[in-house]
Amino acid sequence: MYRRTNILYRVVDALFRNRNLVLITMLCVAIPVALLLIVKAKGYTATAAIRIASEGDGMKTLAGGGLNTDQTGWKSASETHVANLTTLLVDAKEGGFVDDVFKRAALANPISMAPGVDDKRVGAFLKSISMKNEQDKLFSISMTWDNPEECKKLVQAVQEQYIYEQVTAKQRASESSATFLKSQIDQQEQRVNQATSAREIFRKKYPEIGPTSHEQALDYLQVLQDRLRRDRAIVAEGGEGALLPRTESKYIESEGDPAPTFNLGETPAQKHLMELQDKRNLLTSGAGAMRKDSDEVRALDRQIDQARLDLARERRQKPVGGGTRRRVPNPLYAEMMSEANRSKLTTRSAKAEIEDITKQIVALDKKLKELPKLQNEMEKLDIRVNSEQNALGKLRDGYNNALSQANLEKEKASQTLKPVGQVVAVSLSGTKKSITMGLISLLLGAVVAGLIVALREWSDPTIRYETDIEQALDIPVLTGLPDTRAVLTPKSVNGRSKKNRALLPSLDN
Amino acid sequence: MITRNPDTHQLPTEENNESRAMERVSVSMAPNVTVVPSEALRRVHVAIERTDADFAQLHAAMEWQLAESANANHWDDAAEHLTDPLLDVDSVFGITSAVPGEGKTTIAMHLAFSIARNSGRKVCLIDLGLGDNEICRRIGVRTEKGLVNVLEGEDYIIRTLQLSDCGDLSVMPAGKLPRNPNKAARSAAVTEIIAAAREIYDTVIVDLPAVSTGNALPIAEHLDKVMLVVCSGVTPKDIVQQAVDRLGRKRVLGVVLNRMKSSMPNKIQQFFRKVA
Repeated sequence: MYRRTNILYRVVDALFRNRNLVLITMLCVAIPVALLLIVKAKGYTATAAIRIASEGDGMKTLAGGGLNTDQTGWKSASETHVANLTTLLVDAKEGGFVDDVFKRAALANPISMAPGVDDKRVGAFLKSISMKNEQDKLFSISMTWDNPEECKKLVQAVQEQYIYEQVTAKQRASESSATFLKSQIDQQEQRVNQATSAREIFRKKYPEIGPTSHEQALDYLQVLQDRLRRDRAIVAEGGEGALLPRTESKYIESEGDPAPTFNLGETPAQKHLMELQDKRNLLTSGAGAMRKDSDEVRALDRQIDQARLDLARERRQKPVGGGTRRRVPNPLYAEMMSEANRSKLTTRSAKAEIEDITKQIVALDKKLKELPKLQNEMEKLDIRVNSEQNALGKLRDGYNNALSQANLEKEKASQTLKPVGQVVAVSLSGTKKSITMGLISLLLGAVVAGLIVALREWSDPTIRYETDIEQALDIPVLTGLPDTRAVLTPKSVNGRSKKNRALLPSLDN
Repeated sequence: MITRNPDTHQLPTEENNESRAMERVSVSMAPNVTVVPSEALRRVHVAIERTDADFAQLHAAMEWQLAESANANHWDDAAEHLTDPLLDVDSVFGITSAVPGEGKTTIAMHLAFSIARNSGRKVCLIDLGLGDNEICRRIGVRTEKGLVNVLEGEDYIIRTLQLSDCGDLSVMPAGKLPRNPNKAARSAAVTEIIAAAREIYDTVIVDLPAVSTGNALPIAEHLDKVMLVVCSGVTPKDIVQQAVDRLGRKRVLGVVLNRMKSSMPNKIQQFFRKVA
């Protein structure tokens, strides 16, 4: 006896037995779903792809090392970017990434994210956009939208905004060292200014302090001492004998005479110049120093210039042997006269001058004692200014290097993400799409029908197969007889015909 | 053949109908046999031919199940009754169902036909379904008197039909629709009839009413075994369970699953048969 216990047999039998239900269910489910899918799918889709150019060559993020790691511990570069973009799209507030995307898209009917404006297209945008990891170095952004132009613009805006954000972030990171150096330079410039101003203040306070100030002071001391000696001599001689006889003119040898030899340091012009310079020094230094722009000092400067010219002329003159001696005006005459006038000082005035000179000498000695300390101070200030300027120079060099490095990094960052191809909005409707959706609907209908049939079979309380009896009642099944009612029941019997087929005598008799 | 005693031939009254029937019914081989010609059974024969294999299979299953139960109860019965179990062979089978209309009459008829044709035994088919003379109607024989008349005390002669070309098969027709089936099922004549049939025939097939009518159990008590017919895809499990409990699990020989049908195309069914 063939016992229909095979589960597959029961499934197929149930499906055939409920074939009408299956068909009706499939149609009832498939037709509305297909219509819904086709109606819902009416729209446009656009896809933008981004290729990761310079990163991702074997680049994997270690588990826990990055923000975006899955449970397996490794993520490809494109997976990381997809996760980043997904995170950015969560930032759906004014001024956020999504708002930037809408602004970049520059739609004819702009999408607003301003507070208080409930634009339903924001939700639709976030719902319809999707990212997909295509390869290790390639990922795509897709979106379905009603308007083809808006669809294309939005997808393109997402693509561009993401690339912009990523590149900007990388550039910002590369510029950080340059920015730091720039702030250091600003601080260093302040330090240099402080050091320079301190030195200037010191210089203003001690203008005579310089590298040769000690020698100058010594020279001035020598002059003072000479004057002191002369004054003392004047005092000793009674005030008149100090004057040396001066002549208004002097004679020089003309050509033909034996060539006189001029000792430059000993010529009268030279001596006259030196005396003028000493005089000037006397006037412009010391406690009672006159101003350099005073009339007396200016007159003295003019005399010094004249003396220098005379000296130069004297040096240019080349004496010729056999010349005649001629009288030339003595350039020192005026000075001699003034000296003579001065020499007429009385002893009393000489004494007063001696006192004055002595005071000056004392002050000068004191100054000479302080001079090394001031010079040290000055040197320290100079050293400080120089060191600060050196540091500033180094910082500027580093800043320039950092800038060039940042530019290189920027260039590299701008090459990291590259859009692939052009974004085009494609219509979702079409025969192929409709067939696919129809098949999907049919499949869904078949699944629903299968579930209904399974539910119906499960809830069926009747005995249908031999195994049902054995499992439910634990009674042996003798046999299973096929349904042969149509064969077994003659029409006359089944139809309860009053006309008997067998014409038999009645048994009643 | 069961016939009435001619000496006590009188019309029964309502009050003593049952007790008198018990006394008057006697077993003899009187010539109250009507032979049904084979032409009259032509349609039935066609059906038998077609389903003979199935009922032969059912017969074989019955025999096998009987042997199984005999083996199982062999030593217990021997110890209890001190009799040879092999001599105590079950020969009276009832065929019933949980609810009416599950095909018990059809199966009883064809099982009897099959046993008579194939085994050479003396087979008797008793119509105690308490219906409207179902068996005779199906084989196309018109009878107005039968077992119901005896059970109701109206008659004392049990008439039989001898079907030609069906081996040694006798049919005890119901005759008519009983006026009170409950009373008819509980009639004392039932015991007498079955005891007489047990003596005369090798195998007795009794078409019983459905268990749900409450009339099957009084009759089934006099039978050796009962087969329960279950209509596939119709009868709920709990109804069948209740029927088995009421009949007694020991008395139920087995279940015949009737009207099994498959909506699958024949080719697919053949494929499954091959795979199996």
